[in-house]
Amino acid sequence: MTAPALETRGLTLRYGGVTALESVDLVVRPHTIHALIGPNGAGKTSFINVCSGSASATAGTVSVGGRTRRARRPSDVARCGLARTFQNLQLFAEATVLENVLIGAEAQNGVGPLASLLGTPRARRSGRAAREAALAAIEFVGLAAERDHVAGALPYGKQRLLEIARALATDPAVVLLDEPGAGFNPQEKQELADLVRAIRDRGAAVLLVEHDMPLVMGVADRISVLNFGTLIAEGTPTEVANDPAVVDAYLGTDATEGLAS
Amino acid sequence: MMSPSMLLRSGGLVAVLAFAVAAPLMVSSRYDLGVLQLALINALLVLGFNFTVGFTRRLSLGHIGFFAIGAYASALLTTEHDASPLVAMAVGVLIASAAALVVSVLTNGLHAHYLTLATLGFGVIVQVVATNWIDLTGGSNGVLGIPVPTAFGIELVEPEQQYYLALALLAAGAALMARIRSTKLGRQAAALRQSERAAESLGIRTDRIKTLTLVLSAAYGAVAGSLYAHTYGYVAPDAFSFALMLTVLAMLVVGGPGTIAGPILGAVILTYLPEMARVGDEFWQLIYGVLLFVMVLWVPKGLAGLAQQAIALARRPPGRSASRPATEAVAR
Ligand SMILES: Nc1ncnc2c1ncn2[C@@H]1O[C@H](COP(=O)(O)OP(=O)(O)O)[C@@H](O)[C@H]1O
Ligand SMILES: [Mg+2]
Repeated sequence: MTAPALETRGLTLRYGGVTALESVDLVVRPHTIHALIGPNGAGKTSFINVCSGSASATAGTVSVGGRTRRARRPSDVARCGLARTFQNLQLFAEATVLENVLIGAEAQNGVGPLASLLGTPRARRSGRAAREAALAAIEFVGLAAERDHVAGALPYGKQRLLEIARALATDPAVVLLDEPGAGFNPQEKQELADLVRAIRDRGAAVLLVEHDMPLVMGVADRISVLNFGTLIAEGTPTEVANDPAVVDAYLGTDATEGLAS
Repeated sequence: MMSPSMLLRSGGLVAVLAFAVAAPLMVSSRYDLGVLQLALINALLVLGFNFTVGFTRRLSLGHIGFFAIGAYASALLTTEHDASPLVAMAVGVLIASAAALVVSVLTNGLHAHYLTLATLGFGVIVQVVATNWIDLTGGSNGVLGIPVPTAFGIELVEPEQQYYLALALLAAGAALMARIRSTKLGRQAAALRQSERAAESLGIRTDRIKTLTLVLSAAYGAVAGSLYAHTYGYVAPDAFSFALMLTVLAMLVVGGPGTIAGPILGAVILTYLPEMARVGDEFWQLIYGVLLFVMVLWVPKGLAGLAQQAIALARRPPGRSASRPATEAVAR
């Protein structure tokens, strides 16, 4: 059996008195879309933060691609093949779409500042490759027409797509998407579902945090349900939808909300 | 084939360079030439400051400390140890860079305000050491009799020659900065400025970017300090006070942080302003204070940013224009 793309064991995160995550064991397999759902405040963003290294766990371990990492900097985790987007967008707002994605594409290409300054042959080659990878990622999410637009001036939905393109440009093995469809209309959500499938089919595992239940049910291979920082269910969409604990804690309230929006 | 904007840029660059080369021929007195020299030294100093405050927007207020290290290294190595000015300058750059490395390692993890306070402390420490380590620095009497700068083994005795040396160093510094800005390090510094979290999440080691930019800023500051020492032949601690830090900050903010022309423009303007109206130092501190206030509030991109906006407005490039969020924002 191949190593999980992402695996947590006993992952616990406390903010003072608030327990955001309580002993979470979760495995994201390669080439799967794994949805993480739960009501607001359940700890979904916290989970992404700990896995990506931007918050350090109170207890427990995270391993990416089978390698356990002690809590270090987010950049170290990214270099293990993990990429993420942010629920509250974190774009390079003054830069263009292409520049945003190029920064992602060249971040891990190993070209040092001096080599890039001198324009060594290797640096030029890597630069060209990064540019091509960036253009491909922009095309992939459907932003080719906005390539030279300033990121901060894009409509909200396109900013979300840009974050996905930038994350994909790092060529990750696992992508953590934090509510990528927030604020999307039904048609945009449909396109998002196709995009998430395409990411998986390209070979990356996806952890998808999303509120829209029909979207999640339609796209996810597996679903984990968080409630008050604890995993209360895990399984295929059908299993989860029929789990009484889930219906109690979550589907009864938020799903109808999700359907209505 | 050059695009119109590139033509405009290179045309402007040639004009500025021609003016800078001709400037010493247009001034009538030695005094005026001295002001020109000071403007160039200040420009190099502010350009270095731009690496931190302009590129990464990390407000590191220890910059005058690096300027002082460069000045004292040149002063002491040439007067006490018979080093050539060039060697002294190089050693000054190395010491300042090493100091920047230490400051950086200690402050990289700090958030904005704390970084500012800590680096402010560094500037103060350097000045206090210069004042009180009398055996090394001569204390508040300073160091006298620093030799004139040299280039290619020639002693640059004439102020005109010194001016051209400063101009050459400034041009090289500006060219290097422009090159850095357009390569990976420049893009990563801009990324760090706009969202450190996003930069980290992509695998960019932001602490290395912070260190590199601080070391670069220190190196520029030290070169400016060395030029200062050899140009004036005299250094003393009161030249490296917090008042100068405030002046340098005002120069950068007036000119336009993050641009290349801005820091130079700001330095030249604010070097000349006090010459045009000769009133007390305190009055100028007040003016700098007011300028800082006004610019930060209403012209955050400085004069260079203002000029760029004006050019963009006049020519509205079709490709790079911002998309219109209004309609789609309603749709969502
Ligand atoms: N930086 C923080 N400091 C204190 N509490 C936090 C912080 N971030 C999140 N929390 C708390 O942790 C819990 C989980 O939040 P979050 O992970 O954002 O939930 P979700 O993304 O599922 O809506 C909430 O109770 C929230 O208030
Ligand atoms: Mg959240």
